Amino acid sequence: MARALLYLDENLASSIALRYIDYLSTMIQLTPFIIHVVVPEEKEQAGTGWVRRTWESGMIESGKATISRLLKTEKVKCAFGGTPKIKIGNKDDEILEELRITSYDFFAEGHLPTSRSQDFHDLLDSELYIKAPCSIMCIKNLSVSKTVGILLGNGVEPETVVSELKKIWDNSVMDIDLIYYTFKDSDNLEFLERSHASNLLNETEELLKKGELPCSNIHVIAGTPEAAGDFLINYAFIASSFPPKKSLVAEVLAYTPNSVFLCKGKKSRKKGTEA
Amino acid sequence: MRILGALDSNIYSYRALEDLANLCANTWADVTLLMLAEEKPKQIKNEDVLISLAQKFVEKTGGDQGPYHLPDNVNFRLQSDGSKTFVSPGKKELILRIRTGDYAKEILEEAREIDSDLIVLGCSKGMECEWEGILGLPKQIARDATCSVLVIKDTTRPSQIISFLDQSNVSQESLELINQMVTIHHAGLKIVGLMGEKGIVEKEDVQRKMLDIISYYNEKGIHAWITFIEKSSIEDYVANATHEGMVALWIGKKSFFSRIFSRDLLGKLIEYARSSILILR
Repeated sequence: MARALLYLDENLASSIALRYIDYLSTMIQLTPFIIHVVVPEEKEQAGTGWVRRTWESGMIESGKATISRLLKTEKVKCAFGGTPKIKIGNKDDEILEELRITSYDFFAEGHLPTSRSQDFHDLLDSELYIKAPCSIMCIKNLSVSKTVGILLGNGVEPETVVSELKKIWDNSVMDIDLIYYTFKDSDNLEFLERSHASNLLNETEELLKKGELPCSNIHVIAGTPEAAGDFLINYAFIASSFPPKKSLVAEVLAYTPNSVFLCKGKKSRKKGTEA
Repeated sequence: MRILGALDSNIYSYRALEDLANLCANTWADVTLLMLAEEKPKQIKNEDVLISLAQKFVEKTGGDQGPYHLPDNVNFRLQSDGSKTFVSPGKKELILRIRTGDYAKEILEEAREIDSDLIVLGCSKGMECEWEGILGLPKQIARDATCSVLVIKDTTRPSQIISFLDQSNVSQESLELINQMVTIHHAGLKIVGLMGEKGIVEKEDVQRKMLDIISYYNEKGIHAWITFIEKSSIEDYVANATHEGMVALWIGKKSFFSRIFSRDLLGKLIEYARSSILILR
């Protein structure tokens, strides 16, 4: 049973994330744990002793009410692990703290897709994403599909992707497609023969076999990151290793309106610790 | 729901009639097929053309099993204003009308008289979207109609319906039309919201509506997506979106689009779009 820490707030991104996790839990064995961070305004953070304790308990109650309202509105059916964790402070710091002290297979949060790819790159550059000690599910849309796409391209670490998917795959009813991407300055996406892909494709296919994970289809595509991003919309989510800054794979993940599973292996986790 | 199909005897009207029939077969709307004729009409020819179009329409909507019926003998009644009418009662009403005069004015007048929810019309292929011999007619209808307008361009079937939404008070009829477009074309649905310079502005009612729409489609197994674009890039985005699929614009009174898409811009969009355009009001 995979353990996911799901960040929620009272907004559209969280509503989508909550509904998506609810859907995903019907496809993979998943226990989501909710976390919400109440960010106090600076002028609110005064006081010591009982004054502070009273202020803190008021903030916690307000956070609980926020999550309770959201859960009531969205009427999701999945079983959550325990009661929602309500924290006070800086959002990234509190989530990182929770990820460090408790073991989770991945962290999930909603992020509304925009036409500005920079918004997604900013997210990849954020302290939370860089330092997270586990993989991250960035939920952009309510993607209803039974197939997961693995995006391959320069800089992708196939071992990381396969081992992170394996962690959440127990008794899964989902399929996997491999998508190998190369850049081509053309409006129309081109579908190429397998021979146009590097050895990365064979390597990943082999790793899936070894890991007893399914592989239904293989696509070798060439085009702009925008066109490739659009092609990925029909998958449940797109899995790839945490991409290097401004890489082409990062650009495709930025443009796709689909949810993205950023797999973190030892290498990217180490980077996070060093950062 | 009442739909007005505005037709002439050109090929684009035959093409539009097919889409109109698909739409009506699904919605079981009351339909008026309006034939526009010249001031000195060759009366018999116009009647024959309209009857032939109506027969095709009835056939495409399921024939005897469908909602519409057309008897073997169709006798038009001459109205006091010179127009001609034939009312064919089936399970749903099918009215055949012939009007003469200024085509655009007559279409808009007919839509007002019958309180139409939607006007459907075709237009010529390629970069210009025209009716033969009438300059700028589809643009004028899209701009001036008070109800929704579907301009059908003779292009390939859209694989995606791209809907721009920035108001929450979207009517049930508008949603139903989007639903029909998605169903008829077996297309996906992309819902585009607007964001300001500082990012996505939380407009709870609009965003709730977006969520309801995508959930509705996802539950039906149709791929539906939300994305946000900058207000400043809206014109370019809409123009590019017409390459991807059919564009649906909600031009409501409170809509940002009704401000940004001035009458001229809306006309240009109809003209340059590579796909059919649905203007929702």
